[in-house]
Amino acid sequence: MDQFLQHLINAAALSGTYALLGIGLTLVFGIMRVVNFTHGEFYALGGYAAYGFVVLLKVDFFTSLILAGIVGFAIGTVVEFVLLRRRLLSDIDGVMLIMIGMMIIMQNTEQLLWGGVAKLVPSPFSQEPLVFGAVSIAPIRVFVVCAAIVLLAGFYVLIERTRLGTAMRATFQDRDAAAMMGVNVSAIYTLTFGMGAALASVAGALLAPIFVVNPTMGDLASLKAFAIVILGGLGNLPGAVLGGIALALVEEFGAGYISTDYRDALGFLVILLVLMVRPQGLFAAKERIG
Amino acid sequence: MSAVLMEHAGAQAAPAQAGPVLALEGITMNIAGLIALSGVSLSVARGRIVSLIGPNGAGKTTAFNVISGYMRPTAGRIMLFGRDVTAMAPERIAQQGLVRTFQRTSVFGACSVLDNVLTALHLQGSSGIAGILWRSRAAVREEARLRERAAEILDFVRLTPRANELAASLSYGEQRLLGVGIAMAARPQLLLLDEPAAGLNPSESDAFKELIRAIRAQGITVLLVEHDMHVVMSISDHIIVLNHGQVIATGAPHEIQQNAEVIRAYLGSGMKRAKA
Amino acid sequence: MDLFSRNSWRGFAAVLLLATLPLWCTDRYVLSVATSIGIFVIAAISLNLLLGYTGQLSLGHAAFFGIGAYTSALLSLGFDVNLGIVKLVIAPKPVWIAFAGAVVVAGLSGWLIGKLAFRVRGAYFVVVTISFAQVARLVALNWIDLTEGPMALNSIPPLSLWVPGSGVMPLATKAAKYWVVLVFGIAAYLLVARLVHSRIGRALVALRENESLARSVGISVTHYLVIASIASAAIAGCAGALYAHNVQIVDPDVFLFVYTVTMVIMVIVGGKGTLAGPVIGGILFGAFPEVLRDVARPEVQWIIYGAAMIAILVFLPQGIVPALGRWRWFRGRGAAAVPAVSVVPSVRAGEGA
Repeated sequence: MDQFLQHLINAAALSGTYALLGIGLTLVFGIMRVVNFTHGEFYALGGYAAYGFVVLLKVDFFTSLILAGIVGFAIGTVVEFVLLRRRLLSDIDGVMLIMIGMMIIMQNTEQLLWGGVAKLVPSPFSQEPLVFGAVSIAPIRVFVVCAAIVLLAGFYVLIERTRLGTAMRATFQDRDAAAMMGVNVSAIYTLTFGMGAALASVAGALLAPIFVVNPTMGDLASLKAFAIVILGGLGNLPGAVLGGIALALVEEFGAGYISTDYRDALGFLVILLVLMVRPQGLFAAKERIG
Repeated sequence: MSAVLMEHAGAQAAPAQAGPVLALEGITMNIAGLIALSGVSLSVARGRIVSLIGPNGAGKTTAFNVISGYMRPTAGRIMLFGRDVTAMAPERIAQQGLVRTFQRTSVFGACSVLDNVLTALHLQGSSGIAGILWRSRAAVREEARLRERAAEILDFVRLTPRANELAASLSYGEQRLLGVGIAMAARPQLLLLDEPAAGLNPSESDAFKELIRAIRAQGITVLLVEHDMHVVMSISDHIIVLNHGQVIATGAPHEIQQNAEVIRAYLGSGMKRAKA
Repeated sequence: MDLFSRNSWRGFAAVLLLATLPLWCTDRYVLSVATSIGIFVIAAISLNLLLGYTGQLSLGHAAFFGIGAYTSALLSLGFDVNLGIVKLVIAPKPVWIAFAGAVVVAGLSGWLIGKLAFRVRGAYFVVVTISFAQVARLVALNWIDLTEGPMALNSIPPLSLWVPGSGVMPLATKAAKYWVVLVFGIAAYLLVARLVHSRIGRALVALRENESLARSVGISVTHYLVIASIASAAIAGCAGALYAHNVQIVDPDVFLFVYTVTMVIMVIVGGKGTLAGPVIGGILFGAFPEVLRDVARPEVQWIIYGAAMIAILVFLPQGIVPALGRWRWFRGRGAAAVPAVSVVPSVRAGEGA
């Protein structure tokens, strides 16, 4: 029972970041229909930004989080503006391939700049785990969950209560109608991509003290993000949160009770199983065919 | 008409059946809460040119999609040559003899015009992987036969001069013609034309009317969705009128022109001016 | 666009040049690089069938390659594995049996992916194929009982040839290995060429160009997606098996995403949907690492490759081969993709002009 609770707590802590990863990816897909292979690279970028700010520039961790988000946003908007602008709707496959090319460039640039050795970002909290009865949790993980909740709440407010959010939702539902209503669709695209990148970067920075920072951390993050959004349904925002929680649970309990070696494989197996049974994701509304 | 094309029409004629080639029985189509079709029943008699008309949003395209298998109806049955095809996939329905054209993206853009028709002759060939890889005599002969037929079809739709050009480089009117050629290659007994005259100028429309009549002359039944009343009134044997997903009138062109409900649905626009 | 069409002098000249390579170039290192390039070209040709001709963005191709490599290695080495209730023991098989087995097993995994592709379209399919390769890698890494995990399968026997008079001879020299790969390379090229210029090939292209239209003329989507998948996977498995018997070591790194990406870059830059595209792309990106070896670090090389792919996608989306085709020097008899139409004189009864 204790083990079960511990796994539950760990999963709860993990699901915050996974939800952030998922939201970023599903946002970009929902609005722009782009399968963003660079998503994981922005996650890695966030991790390295955190390293750079905290360790090299001696900025405190919390400010670094914000800075990492800004860096992610900036680079994301540039990428979108330069590469994706004109060809988005005509050639989905081409866009996916461009994203893969960009992923290679980003990953190898990081390797070139920082080397392949993993970097450690020190946690701003003590290493002493907080103990509640039989379960324990590191303070940083608690912070991660709180930060994730704050970000998700802020994001929700943005989407539901602001004019920008309304414009984004309109573009999401019907691009052409939104354009006719006066929405600057190109600007929305750039902003959306930037926001998705920023969310991934913040997730990477948040997790930097927990997991190490290395150039290939993006690969796994990308694939987990895909698992999350597929679970929740591509383009489904609340689904991404639920998907994040679901994946965290699957991983924690799978690793705990089945095998730790295959922990990362669980995400992929989940993808394969879900798509075989319900090709549109678990929480998505059924789409019409034809 | 080329002797070979005539022969195909005769050979394809189903065993004599008095019944309609196509019958819809109580078709209802519910799309995400919107009732696009409601209890639609209609039939198309053999060898006729039948037009399906109605104001925008009446459900004509939905009806086409349902008939040709691209959408599954919420309720009702579709009978094709006496067979229930309601749940059939589009490619199976094509094998049964129903072929449809598309209004937009009606060609294989990156292929040559000849290759477009050759591709559409798919059902006319049967060579398998082994025959193809080893270049068996049967496979080679079949390929030659298909190329000959493709040339004839191009001739029929008058696109022979454009045979080696990319389909994407054709003019809009030529692409519509190619679309018909593609459909004809699949040997339909019932041909569904989706707004064939849309976007065509008057002389192109006239050429299309001739083409449709020539198709009927081969024994092929034609069902078309169309907005151009001149075309509809002049070539149709029979007209079915849809409005708000329901059949509101059927009959010969002159009957439809005088039908009060139809006129109301269209608010008189263009209807009275079109002559049979 | 068929730069190496059968009647083309260019094709013959190229084959002649390649066949005699070991005779006029005795540098063993160059030969082994050429052999590697050949294997990559075969893999690229297989990916092109699925990606270029059928239009399926399958990004797990390394999986088929790796499955072919592992199957051939395991069958030729023999293995025993504990399956819980029973212990499976397979004795070492003759090399060509193992090779055939590899092609069959790879083809089967292609069948699986093909079946899945129809249910799962677009972006989801891409993710599924990537996941498939990752699962394969993790299995190869962790199922040590079967695959030796990161310790790799060693001492894989080379392919052999029965020579009248001398019996069965192992093809162990660099030259022999090169020729084997060359033969399979030409076979793969011809196989794909025959396939795409046939009724089946037209059906595949139809699915890529306009799936709804293809269905309306009776082309079954699942059927042809599966055919394309099986053929593509089988050829990739063949390349994988060649790899296993060539370098004689196989480890889980064969499943790495980076190898799939390499194949994709080869096909895209060379020219997807053309026969010569993967060949040119394969040669270019197989040779670049060697040429750039002393000039640039691997990371820099990869940045260049990534940038090259993006540049091609932006400026020359069709790839190099079609662009060359537009360049007059490359035009020749072999350039016409469609033969002249023979118009059968038609007698039109009762029709006006």
